[in-house]
Amino acid sequence: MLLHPESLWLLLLLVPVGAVLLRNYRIGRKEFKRVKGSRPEQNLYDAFTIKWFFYSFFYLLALLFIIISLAGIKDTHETLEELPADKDVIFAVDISRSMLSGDIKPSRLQRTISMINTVINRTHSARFGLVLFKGEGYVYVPATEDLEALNKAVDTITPSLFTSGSTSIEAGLRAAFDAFPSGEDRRKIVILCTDGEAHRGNSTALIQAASDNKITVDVIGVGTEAGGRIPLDNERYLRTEEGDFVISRLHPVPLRKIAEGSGGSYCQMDKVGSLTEIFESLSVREEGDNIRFIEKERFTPFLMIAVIALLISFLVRVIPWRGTY
Amino acid sequence: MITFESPVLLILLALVPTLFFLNHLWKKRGSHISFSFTIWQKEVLPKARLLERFVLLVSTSAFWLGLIALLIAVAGPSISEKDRIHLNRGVDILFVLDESPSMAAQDFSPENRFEAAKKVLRNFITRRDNDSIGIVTFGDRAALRVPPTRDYETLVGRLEGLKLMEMGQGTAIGMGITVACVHLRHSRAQNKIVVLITDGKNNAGEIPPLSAAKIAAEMGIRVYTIGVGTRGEVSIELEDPNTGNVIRGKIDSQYDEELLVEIAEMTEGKFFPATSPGSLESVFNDIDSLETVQQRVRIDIKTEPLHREFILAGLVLLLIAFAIRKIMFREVL
Repeated sequence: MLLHPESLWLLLLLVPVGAVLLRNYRIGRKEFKRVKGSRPEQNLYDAFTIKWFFYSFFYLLALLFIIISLAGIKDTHETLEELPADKDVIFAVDISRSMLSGDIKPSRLQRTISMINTVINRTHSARFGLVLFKGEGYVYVPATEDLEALNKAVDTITPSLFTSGSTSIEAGLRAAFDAFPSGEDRRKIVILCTDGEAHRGNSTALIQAASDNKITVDVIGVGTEAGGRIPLDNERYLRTEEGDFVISRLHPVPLRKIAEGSGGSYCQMDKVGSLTEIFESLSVREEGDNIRFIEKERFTPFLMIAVIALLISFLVRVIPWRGTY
Repeated sequence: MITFESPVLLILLALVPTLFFLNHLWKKRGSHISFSFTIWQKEVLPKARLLERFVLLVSTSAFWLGLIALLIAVAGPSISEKDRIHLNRGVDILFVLDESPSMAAQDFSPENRFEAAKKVLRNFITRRDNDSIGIVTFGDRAALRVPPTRDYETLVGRLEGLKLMEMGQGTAIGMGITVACVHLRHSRAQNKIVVLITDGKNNAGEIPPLSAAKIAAEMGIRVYTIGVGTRGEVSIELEDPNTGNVIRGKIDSQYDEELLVEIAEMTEGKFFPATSPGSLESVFNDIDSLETVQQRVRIDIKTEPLHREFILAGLVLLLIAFAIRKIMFREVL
């Protein structure tokens, strides 16, 4: 319904503004008494009160509608846009250590690799690219039709390809967004494969960036919510300082938000044999919709009301009333 | 460029001078005292002090600017950018670059042959805008370094990172061409070309150059061959990427012109000799002009709305004016 609901907090401003207007009305009446003595003309009082009332009413109304127009009310008439048939698909793959967890067999990363191969083999008239990320994103294979290069590269994905602390889905997605070649009429799809651990960054900004660039983000949540241990070398597992095993769990909520916000789909890779199912739900599949809805914002009518109210409050103040005030 | 969703609404800006006249210049209206007497400090009509006049001026300007910002926002301002959208496919180009030690020969001053080739390649990439371009390098063996892509940023980044001798010390021309053909196999481009850049004789690899040329010809791939270097003895200097040792010496390297001509002829390509950085540049210019595809382009206009920024600015300015007049000066009306 609202594109920027946080703007509605500004409505709280109306209270102090109203209070100041009321206080100044009281002061005004007092000052009249001082100027005109204890018996001021009644019509002067009336003029002041009426003008003050209409001025304040329309001023507050103007502020109210300015804030409403800032909140970005969505247009009920959604515009349909036809999507081009050719696709660019960028895989954004989390290669943090938690992706080695074996809560789905053989490991989260291995299942992700099988998934990528499934998508590549079943999608036609597409170019593919591969972005790997940890704390930063890195273009491993730029968008290409060269399946030879792609297959070879996919098989070499491991967490040790590059070192970087922490995991940032935002960095991964930004790198993926930048990996789309510009200047072509192609549908842009990112397939984000991650366990959603340690989600840093701002998903609202990401969704905005995706929609600005007409990018659909499909998200595959890899792993189980029950979680799994993170293997190190020599059959050992990552432990906390107290000696407990570190359990890495899938965090689906932020992932679902990103997918839905960008018009993509979210699916979870947590059980065996679901590759086909997952593929069916992705935006890349051939028989998928080739239209999408564009959300538009309606602000002109609200802003018009605001401006008119502001002008009325201005005129009430400026134009003298019956030659009195 | 700034555009408006409904520019006709900009006519509302014409109200501003009228309103300004009413408020500030309309003599007949008579004047009124808007401010509470407390700030006049018991004098009946003192002259406002400089600071007060300045603050009032700020408030008045804030009000008018705020109103103007809102009136502009009503018209739906947005920033628009033109986007060239290519409607047809360009050429797929794979560069096959010799990485053997002789490419370190310093007869392409100020750089060596390899660095000169990289520089010319980079310039070439920036001139093409709708072609998928990739890089294969070869020494004893050959490998794809960048698959054919239109992501030029990544392409140029990888090109910068190429080093001599990463593929061994030999010159496997046949392998280089074959690897390029393999990676152009899935391309749906109508025109596929390979540009071979070498300075030596074929002396390594399982596939002889002419067999590789035959494969290319069968796949409809044109091979342009560029022979790099001057004849005679030249000095070389390079760092072995495996050991870090600097290798210096003199070599008498010469490319096999006959072979390069034959490869080009078999694949309907062309052979070019390049003896200096300038001539290498002009070879690339030739290839650039030979390989042009009639471009069909659509101009898309991408707009980014700005009304939120204008509304916010308007709101803030109005509130500043309000705060000064109503809170600081306690204007009663």
